Amino acid sequence: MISSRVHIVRIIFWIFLQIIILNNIFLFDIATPYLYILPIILLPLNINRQLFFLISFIIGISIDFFEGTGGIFAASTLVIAYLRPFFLRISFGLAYEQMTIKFHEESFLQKLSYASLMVLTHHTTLYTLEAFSLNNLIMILEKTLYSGIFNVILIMLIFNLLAKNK
Amino acid sequence: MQQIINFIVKNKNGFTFLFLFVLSIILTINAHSYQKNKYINFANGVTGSFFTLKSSIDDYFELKKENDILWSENERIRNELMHLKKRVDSNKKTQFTSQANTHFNVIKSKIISNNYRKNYNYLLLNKGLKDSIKVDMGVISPNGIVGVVEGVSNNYARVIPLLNKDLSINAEIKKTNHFGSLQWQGNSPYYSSLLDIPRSANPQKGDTIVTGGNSLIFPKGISIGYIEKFQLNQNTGYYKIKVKLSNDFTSLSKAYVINNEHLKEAKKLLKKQKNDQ
Repeated sequence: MISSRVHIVRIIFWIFLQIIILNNIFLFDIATPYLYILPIILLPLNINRQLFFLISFIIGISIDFFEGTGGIFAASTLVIAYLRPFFLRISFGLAYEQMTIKFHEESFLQKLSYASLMVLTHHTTLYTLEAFSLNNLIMILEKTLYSGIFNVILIMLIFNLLAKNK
Repeated sequence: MQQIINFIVKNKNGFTFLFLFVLSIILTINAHSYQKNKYINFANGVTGSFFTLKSSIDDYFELKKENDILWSENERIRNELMHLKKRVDSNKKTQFTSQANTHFNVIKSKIISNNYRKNYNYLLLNKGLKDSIKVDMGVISPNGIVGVVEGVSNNYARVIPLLNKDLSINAEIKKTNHFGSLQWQGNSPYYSSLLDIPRSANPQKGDTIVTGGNSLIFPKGISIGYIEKFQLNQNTGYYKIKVKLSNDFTSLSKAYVINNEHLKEAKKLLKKQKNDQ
């Protein structure tokens, strides 16, 4: 019970941080930190799938609500929520099959691969829907790549900070 | 029937995902169609009051800069006023005053949410229906044109700024009066593009771009920006001009909404014309 409360607080915290501060950051005119996906990355592995989709949708749609973008964030969070089991399997292999992942004890490379897969998928969906056409593929790829790398670095830093606290 | 239900139960994860995904795609498409954006309107009470609170805090950090902008605007307006006074004095017997653009007036307002990173950006103003703001009114800031009001609720108005690929505005080169349409290409928030300027216009770097007279929304001659670069398309004979915007869209805060009192009348006429055809 305590654990689920922690997750709810974490979700609300990151949504507010995203709306109030992170959405206003625009590094080198190209990269924005989208750290609100952190709670989706860190939700428990054995969570009910439908509940997981619903939570991801709510997180995404609340960002959309404040950005005035219709449903692009909701669609992106849903895509990563759907693909998360595959990414977990690719990154952690056997540990995921046996549900014995202790996130902060896994190796750096495994965490990096998991985080990059999630972030890049999220960004690709987000920027494609945001451009609303495929005419500017180069621009979409450029934005995805730069903003994605920036996000992966930030997320890895936060992982390390969280691990140090424990 | 039993089999269908079994199929759905078996694939309930996939269906949940599909349902929510389609829902968000529909919302996205809805957000891109004008004036139909009713389901999740940016300009509603919840987000509006949140952004009001946020901007009242943000304001303190911008006070000095804001002061400078308003100060230089005052200077410009004072200069213009003196100039006009002189002209009125020397033309007292001519019809100068009756020719002035008197059917435009302005309502001051504050931009409480600003976006400039996306391809389809929107702004939020803290004035709405209550302050007699209506759809299709123009919005300017001390430094020049900002955009057009696209949706209003009771207390807030949603503005489609120059930095939105859907907006195209009638603009002209101040020196030669050749007009074209200003359209953002979606890269930098500091530049926009002026299209369809004919070969005869002969643009120069640094020329001023202002709003054209062929618009019901903006009065003629409001500053848009300066020519940064231009390129002639040999096939069509039209210039494509890169315009440095005079407004810094990354730090907007005060705005004036322009009310054209003849807008309703002109629109009615246009509509009537359309019906007659």
